[in-house]
Order: sequence, then C-alpha cells, then structure tokens
Amino acid sequence: MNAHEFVLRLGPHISVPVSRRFAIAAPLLLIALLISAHAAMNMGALRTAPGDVFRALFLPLDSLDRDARLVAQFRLPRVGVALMGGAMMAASGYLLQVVSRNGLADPGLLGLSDGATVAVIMTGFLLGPIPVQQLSLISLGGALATALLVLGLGRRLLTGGGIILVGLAINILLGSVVEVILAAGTATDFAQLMAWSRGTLGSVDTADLQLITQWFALLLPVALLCSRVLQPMLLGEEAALALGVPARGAAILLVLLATAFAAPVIAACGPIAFVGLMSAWIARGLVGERPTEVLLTAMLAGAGILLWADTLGRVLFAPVVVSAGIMVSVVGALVFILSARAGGRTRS
Amino acid sequence: MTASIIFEAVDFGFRDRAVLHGLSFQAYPGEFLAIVGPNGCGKSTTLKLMAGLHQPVAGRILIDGADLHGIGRKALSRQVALLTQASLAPPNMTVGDLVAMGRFAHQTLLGRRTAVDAAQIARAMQRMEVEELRDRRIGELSGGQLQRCRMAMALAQDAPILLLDEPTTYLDLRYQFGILEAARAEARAGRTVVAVLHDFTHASLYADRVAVMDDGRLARLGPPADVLTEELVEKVFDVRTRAVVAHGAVFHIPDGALK
Repeated sequence: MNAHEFVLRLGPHISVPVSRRFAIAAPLLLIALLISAHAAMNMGALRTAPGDVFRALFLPLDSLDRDARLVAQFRLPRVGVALMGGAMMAASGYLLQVVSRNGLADPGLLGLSDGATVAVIMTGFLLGPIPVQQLSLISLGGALATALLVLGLGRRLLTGGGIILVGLAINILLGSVVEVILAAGTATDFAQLMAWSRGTLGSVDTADLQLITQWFALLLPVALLCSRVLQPMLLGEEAALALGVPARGAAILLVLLATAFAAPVIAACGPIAFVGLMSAWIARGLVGERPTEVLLTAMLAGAGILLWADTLGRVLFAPVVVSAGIMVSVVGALVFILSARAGGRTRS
Repeated sequence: MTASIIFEAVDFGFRDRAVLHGLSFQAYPGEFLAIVGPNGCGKSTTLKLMAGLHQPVAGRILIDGADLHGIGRKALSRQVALLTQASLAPPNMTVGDLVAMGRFAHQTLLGRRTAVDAAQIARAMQRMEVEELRDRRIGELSGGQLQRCRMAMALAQDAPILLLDEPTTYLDLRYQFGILEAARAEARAGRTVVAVLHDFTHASLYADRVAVMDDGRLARLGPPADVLTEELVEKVFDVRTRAVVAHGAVFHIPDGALK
C-alpha cells in the first residue's frame, strides 16, 4: 500500500494491515525475549550449562540429572511466570489506559492488589494459617471481588477518568484496612504476606505456572478479538458510539478483561502493577497508536521487563535477593526519568 | 439507500434539566437542513439524539420509518454518520487509521478490509483533499487539517444520513466553503444532511431549509430567506440586525456595527 504499512493476508477472511514499525519492533523484541529467557534459566547461584535448559524443557523430570532438575523445578516455573505474568500485566495496563483514555492508568489503580491482600489477611485472621497452595486462589478471589466492586460503583463513569477515581478510592480504603489489621498484630504469621505484598516471584512454583498458563491461553485470544473496538474507543465515548461501537458495554468488557489479566498475576507474584503502566508506555513509543500492535508490543515489553527485574533481583546482589517488585520500581523510575528528559530535549 | 429522519414530539433532558420540549420535524433525503439557534438551545443535543447517542425521554425518532430505539448500534452507524464537535483523537494516531475507522460499522470482528472499504476511504480522503496527509500523525496537524480528516472519517462511513455539528470550526475560508460544498454534494447525491451552523450566511447559501431552535423548541422551519428574518433573529438571539439579501444569500449586520 505504501512505505508505512503492508497488508498481512491469512486465508480469504483475515487481512491485517501491519505498520512497518510494528513489523520491525515485534520480531526484534520476540528474539530478545527468547534469548533473555534462555539466559535467565542459566543464571543463578548454581551455574548450569545451556544443555540443561533444553533437557529440562523437553525431557521428563525423572530422567534429569541434578542440574537439569533444578532448572526444571525452580527456574522454569519462575521464568515462565515472569514472561507470561509480565505480558498479562502489560495487557491489563494498556486496556485500562484505553478505556480511561489516560496514559497513566495501571492495574494497581483498580485496587486489585489491595483487594487480594485484604482477602488473604481476612482469611488468615478468621480461619488461621492458610496453606500456601490456597494463597493464590484466595487472593485471586479478593482481586476479582474488588474489581466487581469498583465496576459496580463506577458503572456510570466507565469511559474517561471516572473508573480510575473510583478504583483509587477503593485502593486507599482497602490499603487502610490492611494497615489496621496489621497494626492490630494478631498471632497470624504475616512474614510471607509482607514478602508477597512487595511483589516477588520467589515463591512461584509449578502450580503457579499452571495457573498463569491457563489464564494466559484463555485471555490472549479474547484480547485479540476485542482489540478491534479499542481503536474507536480512543476517540472518546461519543465518537466511538457514532462509529458503531457499543461503548458502554465495550468498556465493561474491557475492564473485566483487564482485571482477568491482572488478578492471577497479582495472586502469584503480588502487586507488580507498575509493569503494566511502563510497558504500555514503552510500546506506544515504539509502534505508535494502533491498538492491536500496541497491545502485542506492550505484552512483549512487559514480559521482558518482569523477566529481567526478577532475574537481576536474584542474581545481582546474591545471596541477597531483591524482590522483582522493587527492581521494577527502580528500573521503571529510571526509564521514565531518562526518557522524560530525552523527550524534553528533543522537543525544545 | 436513502433515509428520512422524523422527530415526533421528542422530549429530552439531563437529570433535572430539560433540554428539548416536544420537538417535531422531518428531514428528507436529498436535502441539506441547517439548524441554527443560540448557544445552549439544544442544537447539538438534537444531532446526538439522531445519532442514537442519547435516548429521548418521551416521543419517537424514526430513521427511514423505523424507531431508532430498536436499531442496533452497529446497524444504526451504517445509517447515520456524525461529525462530532470536539476531537479526542490521540496525537500518535495516523490520519489513514483515523479515516479508516469510518468503516468500522461495515466490518466484521476480524476487521477484513474489503475493496468497498478501500474505495470509500479513498473517496472520502479525496473529497476532503487529505490524501497527502495519510501517513501524518494527528498531533502534527493544524486544527483545520484535523477537522477535514474527521469529516473524511464521517464521509467514509457512507451512511444515508450525515450529521455535522459545527463542521466549519477551525477552517479557513477556502475549506469552510469546501466542507459545506461537500455536504451539499452529499445531499444532492440523495443523502439526508443535517448540520448545526452558526453562520446565517453559510446557512442561507448552502442549506435547502433552515430550522431555528430556541430554548429546546422549534421556533421556525423553512427556506432560508423566509426564516432568517430581522424579526426572528431579534426574537431568538436578542440582537437587532439589518438583513441584506444579495446573490441569494442572507447577511445579517448587527445594528451596533452600523455607522
């Protein structure tokens, strides 16, 4: 068609215009991600050989030697959760940014992480110690319940910034509930919770990998099917309606989708919502403003960010482990400040 | 592929504030109907009701004989295109993508672009003279360029009813006439064109009929020369003017400006 885009044809019914920037950025990110994932699986206190990674990936667990077994049991779930979790947080963040038409929205603003925390604490408070396996299910329930509460209260304010305001209010409210319970200081053991609430992949196991994989496989096709309504939504509710998008219904669907993306990740890794904000922002800078392309690019970027945050966190100051949530915040803050400065220079 | 619009005693309001009171009128295929009136009299609201953005509190709106309320959102957008007043298009979006969105209601979930889509996009861009802006980003455009691109998006919708809310905003003289000529050409091609205009001269030059609205009611409806009189302007706008007719257009000159 022209120098800036070409049309990708898949069979007689699908033809997708692809921008040149996306055609360059996405494969590069994907390659970088695969290399990073492979590297991350070999990094850690115990040195392993590249061959161990392939054996861990493709051979049954029983047949593995000690090194390969370590990769399969500990590093593989962790890397897998980091990749998919980062991608899901990124998708969640971008969807919320489109619905609220606010480039600074992220999954944390919906109160999801505090909802999960309150659910975990309340359950621990009422029923005593919680088995680790059920921690993620309880926090998942808490996050989803909070999202429904926010949607219910903010249903008249879905498009535009309103939903974010309601989410923020719930966020603050639940945050203070957490503080009150923690200050009340019961016999419940909060050590694990404190680690979780900073955002860490330290306790990720194969069950978490399974949970995240299922949600990822379920939600990705849904997100791609929905991505076509995202573009008119960028023009605001009235213009989207005039173009034929049932904007209110679409907004509810998209917020639910964003919640479904974020909740299992928060359940497994704690609140690392900042990944969502940062990757969507990076993706827009890389490929422009075509939603399907931004969504996919953001997911690739989010996967890379969380993977490197977690890997560097466990390798850089070993044996001290810095949680991924903290690494994301530090790296993200640096990226934002540097690019804001760079942007300011090019503009002036 | 033509469609009339009929308002039957339409009432509308936001919460406790009534905006329209028993509004009844018709707009026909092939005509350019201009709506004029003071700020806040309900002109834009009337257009939004026609486009299904709001539901009437009482009364009915018929599109091509069918109650608008029963038409699905996507089907309605194949019938009615609306150029809204304000643009919220993000600065990174390209002009090509913006105009192509006009085809949304004609496409399936997978978004296959057909030859018809491509032809309508090309026609709309050519009509508004924005082809050379195709790869530019919204943030790089002047207000007038953006307005023409948004008009191209509405034209690409290829709907039998075209609604324009203050289409000449931001445009210089050449493109003010350009956009109004395009609107009239669409009417001559059989579409029903309804535009909210502020300029009486524009309305009298391009519109077939003018509807004057006052406080949510229809004050008068008819050919421009019959409607845009000194008496009506004084009554509705509370301004004393002299009306001058030249070259078929009505000019209103405020009394205060006369030396």
